[in-house]
Amino acid sequence: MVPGLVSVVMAALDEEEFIAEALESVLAQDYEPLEVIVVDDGSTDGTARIAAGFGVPVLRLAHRGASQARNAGLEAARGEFWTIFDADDVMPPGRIGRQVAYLKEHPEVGMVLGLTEAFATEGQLRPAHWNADWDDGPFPACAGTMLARRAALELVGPYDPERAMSYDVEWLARAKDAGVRAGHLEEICLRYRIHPGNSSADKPAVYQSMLEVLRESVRRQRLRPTD
Amino acid sequence: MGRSLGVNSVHVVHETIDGETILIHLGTGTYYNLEGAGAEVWNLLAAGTDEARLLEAAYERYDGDPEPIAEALSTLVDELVGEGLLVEADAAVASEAQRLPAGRVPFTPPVLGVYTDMQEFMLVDPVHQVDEGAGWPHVKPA
Repeated sequence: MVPGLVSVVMAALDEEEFIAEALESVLAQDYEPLEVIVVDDGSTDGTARIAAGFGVPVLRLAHRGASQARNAGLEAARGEFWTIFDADDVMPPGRIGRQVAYLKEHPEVGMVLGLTEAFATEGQLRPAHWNADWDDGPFPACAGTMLARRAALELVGPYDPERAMSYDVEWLARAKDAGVRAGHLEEICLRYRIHPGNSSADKPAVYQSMLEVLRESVRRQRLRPTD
Repeated sequence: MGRSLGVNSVHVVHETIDGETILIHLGTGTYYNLEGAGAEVWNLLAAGTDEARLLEAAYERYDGDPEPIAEALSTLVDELVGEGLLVEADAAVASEAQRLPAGRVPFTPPVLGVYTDMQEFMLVDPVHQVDEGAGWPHVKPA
């Protein structure tokens, strides 16, 4: 573990359209030291080539799904802090620096989240699943805004490799049940691209997986000894 | 006389497995659990049973004095409405009489477990908020 280092893990599957913008926004962060690890989850397009063009390490895997790709990136990560950043989103300037400063000021906090701003790709129509609430401005609570300590990852463990959906909520539920405290920044930490390829468009499947995740959390809370 | 109620299906998803119901209010990020009589009663209410029929079914199913049973179920229904999990429904949409599981069991007053500890994370994917088919109320005109 390298003190102060922030590891940005970007798992990508066929993101040639957006990954350059995502990487530019990460590499433009004014925080140092920072490492970016791209995990190519078996893309069949130019994702890996584009990422390699930025001079960042690219782990190329046979397609295993996002949670396993993230875990592979986290295994390679050496930072005291880490974040998962999707290859279709955009990181606002200064985000990493502000989040690291927050964690340094709040040693009792294991992870910090922030606000999200939704956007559609310039020049493209908003997809059908655009939510009119997003026009009202940034909203809280999106896992893509999280920056966490390595220690939190070691306590909570990796993303559930078997889970194809809601792996973010599942990890956060385990973190909460393990007693990891979350902090919040009232600043935009993620520009979240809304496009037809959003993996969460299959709403019934998302709901189903969230019900499973919360059922497990209720069970864990029931088993926990009360003090 | 009793209220006709239905699941607030625009915002609420729920599932019962092995006698335990988990519910999520997607609008608030609060989640809930119900066990035993609570889970049984929830499923009857979710099927469109009004409060009067619910009581009849409960007296058939649960051993115990009718008064405390009625009181406990009324409290539960109030809580479910208060949390926005059930909403008043048109009586005409209530389905045919539903039944609780067969056999008589002792009555244990149901407890609605309320969990707010994931609210800050439950909008992890805000895409779930949009459901035009289910009548999401804020669909922006094209």
